[in-house]
Amino acid sequence: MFNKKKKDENESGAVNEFDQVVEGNSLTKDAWKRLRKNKMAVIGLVVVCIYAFLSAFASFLPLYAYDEIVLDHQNLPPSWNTSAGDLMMQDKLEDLYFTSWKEGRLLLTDEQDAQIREWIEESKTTKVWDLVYTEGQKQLAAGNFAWTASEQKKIDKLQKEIETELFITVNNVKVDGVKIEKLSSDEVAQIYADLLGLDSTTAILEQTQKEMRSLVQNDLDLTDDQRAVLSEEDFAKRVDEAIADMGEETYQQKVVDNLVGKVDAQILRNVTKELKAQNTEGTISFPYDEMITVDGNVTTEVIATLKSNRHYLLGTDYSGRDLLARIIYGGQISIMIGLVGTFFSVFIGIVLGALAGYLGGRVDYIIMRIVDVMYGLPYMLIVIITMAIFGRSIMNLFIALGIVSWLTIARMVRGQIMSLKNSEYVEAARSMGAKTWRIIFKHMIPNSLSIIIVYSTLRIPAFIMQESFLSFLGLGVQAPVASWGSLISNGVSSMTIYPWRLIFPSIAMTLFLFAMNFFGDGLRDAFDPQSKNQL
Amino acid sequence: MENNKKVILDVKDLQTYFLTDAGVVKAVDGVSFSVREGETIGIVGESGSGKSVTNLSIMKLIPSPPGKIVGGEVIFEDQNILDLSEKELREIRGDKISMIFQDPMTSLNPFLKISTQMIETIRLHNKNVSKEEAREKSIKVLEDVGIPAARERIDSYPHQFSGGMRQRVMIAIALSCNAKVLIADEPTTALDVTIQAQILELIQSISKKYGTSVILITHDLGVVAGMCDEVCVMYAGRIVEKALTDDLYKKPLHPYTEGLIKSVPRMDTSGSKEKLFSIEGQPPNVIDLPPCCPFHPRCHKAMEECKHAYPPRKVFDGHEVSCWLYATDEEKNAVLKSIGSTEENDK
Amino acid sequence: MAKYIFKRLLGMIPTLLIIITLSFFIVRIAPGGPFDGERALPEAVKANIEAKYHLDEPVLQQYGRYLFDVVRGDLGPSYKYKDNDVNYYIFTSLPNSAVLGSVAIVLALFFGILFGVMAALYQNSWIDYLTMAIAVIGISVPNFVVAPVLQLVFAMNLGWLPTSGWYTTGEGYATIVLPAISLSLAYFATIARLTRSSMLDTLRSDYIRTAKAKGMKNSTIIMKHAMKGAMLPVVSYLGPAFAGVITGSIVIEQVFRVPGIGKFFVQSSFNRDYTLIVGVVIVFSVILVIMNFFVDIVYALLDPRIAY
Repeated sequence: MFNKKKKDENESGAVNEFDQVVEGNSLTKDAWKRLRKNKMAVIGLVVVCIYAFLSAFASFLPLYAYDEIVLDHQNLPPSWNTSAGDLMMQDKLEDLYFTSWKEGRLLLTDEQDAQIREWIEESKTTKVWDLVYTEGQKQLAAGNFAWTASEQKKIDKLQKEIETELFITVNNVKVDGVKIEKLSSDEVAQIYADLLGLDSTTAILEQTQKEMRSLVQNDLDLTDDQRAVLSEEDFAKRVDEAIADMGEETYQQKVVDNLVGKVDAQILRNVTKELKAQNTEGTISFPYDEMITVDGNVTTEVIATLKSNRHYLLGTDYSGRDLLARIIYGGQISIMIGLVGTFFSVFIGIVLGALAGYLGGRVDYIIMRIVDVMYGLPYMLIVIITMAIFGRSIMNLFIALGIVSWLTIARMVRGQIMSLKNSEYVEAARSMGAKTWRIIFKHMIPNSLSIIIVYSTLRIPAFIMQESFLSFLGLGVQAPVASWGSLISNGVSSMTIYPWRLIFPSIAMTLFLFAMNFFGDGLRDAFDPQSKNQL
Repeated sequence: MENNKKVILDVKDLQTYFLTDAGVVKAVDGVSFSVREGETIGIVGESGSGKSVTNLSIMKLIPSPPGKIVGGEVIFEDQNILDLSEKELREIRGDKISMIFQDPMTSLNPFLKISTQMIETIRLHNKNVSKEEAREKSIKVLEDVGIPAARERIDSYPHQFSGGMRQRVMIAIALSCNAKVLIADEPTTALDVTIQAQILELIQSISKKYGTSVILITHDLGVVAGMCDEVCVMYAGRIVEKALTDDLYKKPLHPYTEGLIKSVPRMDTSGSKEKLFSIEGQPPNVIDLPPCCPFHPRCHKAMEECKHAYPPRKVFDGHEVSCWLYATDEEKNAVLKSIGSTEENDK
Repeated sequence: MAKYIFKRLLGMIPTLLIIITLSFFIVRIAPGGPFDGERALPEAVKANIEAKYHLDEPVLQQYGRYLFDVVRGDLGPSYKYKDNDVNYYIFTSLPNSAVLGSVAIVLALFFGILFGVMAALYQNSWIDYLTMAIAVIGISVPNFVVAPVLQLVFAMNLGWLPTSGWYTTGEGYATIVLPAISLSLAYFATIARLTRSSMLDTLRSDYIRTAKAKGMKNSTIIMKHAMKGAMLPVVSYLGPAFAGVITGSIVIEQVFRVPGIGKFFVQSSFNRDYTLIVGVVIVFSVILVIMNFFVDIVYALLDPRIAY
């Protein structure tokens, strides 16, 4: 019965004398089958794919800019449906109610008073604010409590701010349908002069020239000591040389860019004034997105939103930056470091391992001694030193992590090559005139690829952890760029008051590491069932 | 055939299955044989035929799961071993029934001294023996199995011994108590040819000296010829032929046994430049095997019946065989008739 | 055995030499010196300072001096703290870090082996699943997440344990608990997994079958026959574990405000106080090299097959 069914399922499969299905099995096919059977590994793979998708397409997602500082929106709690403005107002009211309670104007029951004092004792401020806010709102509605005039003024002021503060961006400035960047410097200067109401462009062009020169001067490749001894004339000469090196066209383009920036800024100022006026009159609704004409033939797209209309799903950080965007962009950085770092270290490992294994002798001895010594070192400390000495940049991070983490892969590759070199079939191929390195290359790739892939998969989370560890200490990526480690580090500093700043980045990172580890373990078990559950 | 020696271990219709993801593996499927006092019985078969599993089942040492003894009896000293509790089993294991395994390199604990491993065995089964007494006894047994300078070498670790010496130590450990039955699971497979003969001789002489019965598991018919009183030939989890050693060699009944005997290189068929006989094909995969003679695809005498039912067991003067060649006409016809009817049903 | 120990001791020398040499040259090539930030020093003062730090000598002589000093146990003056030298800062804080690290390693070893063995014995039981779940968490969650979360839950919300501080400053021995647990979790996880898998492997081995065939009790088999073999991978893992604990303690000390050596390490890497950084790295490396030496000895004691 059972055999019959099996046979039907595998129509194409060959059958032996006992009606048993005979199937050829390749290692990869077999491994893939085992991997699919491992539920946790599959879930891990799916989660990893989601993360990869989010990071890869972060810039296409409807997110706020991860580095946009909105000082009014500092430390706003996460919320699905309350806008930033309402949260700001609630914050303010909590503060005012609390003062009123302290001054004895907001009257609560004795138990509530005692409770509040206890909470203050334990520094559980969030609970205190929640209580005075709900009670205060209740009493205010019932008419048992009223704001003082000065308090009312503060509330009104904030309300006005919430209703009027705008976010405005100016894009696609065009002159007669031509992008402004395509115009010559004189033309752009003319437009700028028109905007400012000036008759001549001379002053503008002079100012721009001056700015350009000082920019170039700052970029000169000189040390501080050299700068200290150079005279005005020397500088002027060097700047002239640098500009000449740049070429006329490039230099002109830079001048145009500078002017365009000024034009954009001026348009933004004008538009802001205009929109604010319209907003007070109530003749405008948000979000606002229109092409408008500024000054005759100049047109531009203006996008404007009310600042307080923003929603922060995961809250904001200490500079009012959107935590969701920061977590996703931070993940982008962390995952990229994991991938590039792993690639880098695996590459070094393969090259050095192959050299050691193939050349043998003294080279092998030296490389393996280095590996042994480095295994005995607290290598994260070496990374920290490198970062401390050569500066904290992502590039240095890659190099430092790459330098210390090629050891294992080098050992693996060396072992593979050594055993291949001594194997009989390589000997046989060699006796027939094939070159050793070719045979090794041809056989090593298929033989070692699976091991290397599995190892790399398990390396990625380790890399991410190491990067985050450094960022946590402040030695990794630097603000405004975020990584999971730096976000967690920022969150820890204020975890009692703003716990979401610790919790969400931690969850994001942990979930990814979980997924990656499950997937990596599954992959290893699938490719190497013998070493089940081994580390 | 008459044999009035006392039966000491009686295996009746033993069935051990392994429940794997791919299906049920009937590793041992209805095996019966008996071991008589002081005699040596050989179990012969290719790898995977179930000989080792049979003997691990006797000691109830099948790793479970996935293994499971699903039926049969193993009678030793008037009780069924398979019904005993773990505690009662431990009293038999290593004391009355001892085992020697195939690979002496891995069967001794590499982290413990030989003395430790021997003394613990002796003291495990004889609680009132002191450490010193156990040590003296160990040295004596080691000398018995032919280890030179046993007194000095007893405190060595296994890796300091050669393979043959280690197998001697294994035998010494097996004999250090009151073994009535010694199960030797391919004791010479992992050893050099010159050492093999020594070890086999040792087992034989020990068996004589202590009156121990031996179950010798091997894939080598040559080994069996010199050592065993009786032989069971196993194929795909069943005994296909069982006879006294001489009978089996002189008059093999099963085509498989015939093939095995023919494939042993012999010096006495002198000078002939005949090619050595070999049995074509491979043993079957025993997962979900349909009812048939599992040997039929490799058998040059295969008939239609062989493909549809397992052959009945026939006994000719103490010589047991399971093969359709020796079945009665009624039995054959019954099988042929039943296939005919199922084929009609299919249509 | 004595020969083996001697050989191992000799093997430590090149490692230490490389560390010290690297340290010396890192400090030499690093941009910014002891008077970085104090611009426009008069020549005389500059020369004075150079003489004080022996920067006016030829490089090779400086290297020789440095090597000699380090071997004597003198790590030199700090570039940033003027009051005391590097030795003072390291050896006043090292004991605290050592206590934290040792407690963490002992916790990880004890519970890791205990849970690992239990999980192997009762494979696929609740204790197995629990152990593996904790192990996955321990391996996946970095210690700088574990530490604040434990702090938030057990110190701030439940109030069972002190939030931060250290017993030497009179805050009670309970201050050790949370830092030690946070630090040990990852190593507990790895050790439990290693123990479990190597115990399972060992239990499948031929010599365990032999022991069973001898009629031994399961518990005796595990304690007497399986334990030694199963512990070998755990012992090999101890080297990397020590390195990890040393590195991890830097973060843990920061989160729990433990007055340990990690604080100086982080601070000095921000101030570019090279002599202090290098001093810390040398001390850590020496500790690690000694630990690895002991690990090798323990391994050799456990496994008689190691050729002395």
